[in-house]
Amino acid sequence: MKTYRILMLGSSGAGKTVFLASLFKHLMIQGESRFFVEVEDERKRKSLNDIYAKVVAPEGWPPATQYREFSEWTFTCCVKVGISIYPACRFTYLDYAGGRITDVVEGQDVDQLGEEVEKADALLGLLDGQKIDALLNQGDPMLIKILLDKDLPSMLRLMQTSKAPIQFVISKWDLLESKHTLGQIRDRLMQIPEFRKIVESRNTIVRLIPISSVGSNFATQRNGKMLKTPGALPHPTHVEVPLACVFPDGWLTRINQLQAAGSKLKTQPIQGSSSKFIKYGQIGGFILKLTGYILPPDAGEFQVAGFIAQNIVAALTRNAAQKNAQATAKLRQEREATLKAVKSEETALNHAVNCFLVIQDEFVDLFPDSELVVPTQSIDTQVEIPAS
Amino acid sequence: MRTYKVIMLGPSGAGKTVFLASMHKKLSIQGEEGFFIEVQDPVRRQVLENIYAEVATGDKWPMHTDPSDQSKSGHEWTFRCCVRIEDRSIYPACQFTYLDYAGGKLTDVNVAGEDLVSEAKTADAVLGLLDGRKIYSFMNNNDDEFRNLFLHKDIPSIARIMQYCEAPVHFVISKWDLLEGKYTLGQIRDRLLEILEFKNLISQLTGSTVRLIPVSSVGANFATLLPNGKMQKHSGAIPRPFYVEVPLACVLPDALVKRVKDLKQREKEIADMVVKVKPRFGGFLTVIDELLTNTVVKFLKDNLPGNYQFSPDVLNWAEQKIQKAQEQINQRESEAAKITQEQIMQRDKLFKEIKNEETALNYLMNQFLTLTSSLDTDFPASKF
Repeated sequence: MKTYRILMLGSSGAGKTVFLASLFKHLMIQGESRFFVEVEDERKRKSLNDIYAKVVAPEGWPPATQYREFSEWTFTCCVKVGISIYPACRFTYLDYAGGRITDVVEGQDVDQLGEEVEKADALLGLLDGQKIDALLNQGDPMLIKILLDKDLPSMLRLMQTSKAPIQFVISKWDLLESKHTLGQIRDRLMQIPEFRKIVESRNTIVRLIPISSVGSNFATQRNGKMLKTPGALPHPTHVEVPLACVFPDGWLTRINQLQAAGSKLKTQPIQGSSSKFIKYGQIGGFILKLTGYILPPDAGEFQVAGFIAQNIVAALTRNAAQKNAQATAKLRQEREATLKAVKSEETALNHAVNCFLVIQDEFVDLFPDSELVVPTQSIDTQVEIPAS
Repeated sequence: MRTYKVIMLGPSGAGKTVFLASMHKKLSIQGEEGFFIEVQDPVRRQVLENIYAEVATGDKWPMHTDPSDQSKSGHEWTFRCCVRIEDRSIYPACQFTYLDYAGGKLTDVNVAGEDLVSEAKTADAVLGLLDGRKIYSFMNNNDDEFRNLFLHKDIPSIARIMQYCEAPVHFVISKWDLLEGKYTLGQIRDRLLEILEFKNLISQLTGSTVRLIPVSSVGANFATLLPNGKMQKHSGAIPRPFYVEVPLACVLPDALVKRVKDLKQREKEIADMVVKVKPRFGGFLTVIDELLTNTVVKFLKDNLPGNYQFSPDVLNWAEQKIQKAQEQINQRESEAAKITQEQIMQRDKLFKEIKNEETALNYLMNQFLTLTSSLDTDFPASKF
């Protein structure tokens, strides 16, 4: 099964395992998302439920160190059609957390970490929403100092050595959303030279994703204390977005890499496509010119059916500022169509990618500022496949 | 003998074993239900009797089942359904094997679970036992451990396994005596549907009836919830198990309807045949010879697995049930009441026809239908 590796970076206490627990909580039963995730390892699965129960428990937050024994969490995306269940792909989250990342930075396990950075299909940097709040409000100087002098530098140092897409995930959005817009947070982060440099040096998209493990209205902050709203049920918010963006962003990165390597590729039109060039759009600093072809075999884990490639391009190149309700509706329709067509791992993956695109598309509609874009030079990207 | 497998999923303390003990107590003597159940293994029977005795007498309640004490066979309970006719002859009709896993296996990180998903996939029905005490906290919006465990451990763990089930699933609310009079089943159903995992699961389970069945092992006025959270038994009160027989009665009718429906969906040819069948709701109750040659029934006879081979009347009932499903949603209550009346009228007739296992099973199905119809009548909110 195709497996995608995500390297999670973030200080101890930033809420990496809480994020994963919320992700599992949100996607463990197939509903509106039209797919679900399974954690096959029984102890890890129960731990995630345990962690989430502790997050929302009357007495508060799970201890940061409690689940450090696990450094790898694998989520299998599955699709249920009628009574049949088909696995589609896997996402493995590697937690280079807390003490571990400090050790690494100090020189231990460098080779191993270097290997992980090299292999990663995405890098996820988890930023503590409370520290971001302090940064924007000029709050607790200690929190700001930790964010600027410790959390971010160790994260950015590793990111600069990787070519994988980057996701900056901001936790505790429920505390921030009434105080700051994502645009304000983006602008403030871009004032940090190292941060800006990372964003500018990428040749693929960098995302800023606000998440909340409990959602709005679950609790309110009064006099520095969190008060739960009686009877409110927690609803994790946007926690599925980072996972959903791994495939489309990784796919685009793969195209760029293939082009940069000067791959000589034969062509084969997509069935039913009358036009050679199906999409010509802009994403990030790039002009993406994509022919209607599926990726070549050496696209490896990102090999995907031609009609799905069209959808990825359509979703990624849509200018977020020009909301296109029709395109979103079409994507949802296609998702329903691919759901009915699921009968194997391959068709399940096609469907899962459509599911990811719907999540990504709706999220970008809601947060146009989530795509960190620095206008740079345009690069033509043309993807073709061998006629095998 | 036909054996049907029922998996019970429920967290520690929900009352799974007590529920089985009270079901055994209520159905061990043939009464108004018109059949009785027996546990043939005397040791196992004694265990259930002891548990019930503990519930009914003394100040204490039975201890939770310790997962480490549960041997491989320790969680299996086989109940044989039998009918005693007027000359005192006894005819066994079928048996149900309940798999009752210690609750810790479902949710506890430190207790290794068994492959519950594989087990659930091969079951004829899956019962999710929801702890009435926790629902009480949930409905009261008490920000306590009961509510928290219910929302974030019990429901997700049960729903996850049910997602893999092919068989009908039902939810049994234990300790109904605690909730009765304070909340209606409809109110509880609506609140449950606010829970994301629960709502998502129910939206998937469109292929069969999903029921919410309130049960109480002791009935009303047997115990009171104290402010410290403990249940105190009333001195001298006699337990009257409430609805504990209904989950068992639902297994076979719902599983049969599900099988027929799945079969029809898989086989396109049957779709064309269906239109040739005259709509005849409640047809099971009247034997009509021409049904033997009916193409639909013949098709079902040829294709259903052995355990689900029933008389043409029963198969026709299942078929009609599917066709009438939509109308039933609209007229659930009145229709259910009507069926009950018809079924009661049929009871004597089928009772007199009992002469072997097959006719006993035919009669038993009628009794099961009567009991499920009673549930529909008394609790219209019991179907999702």
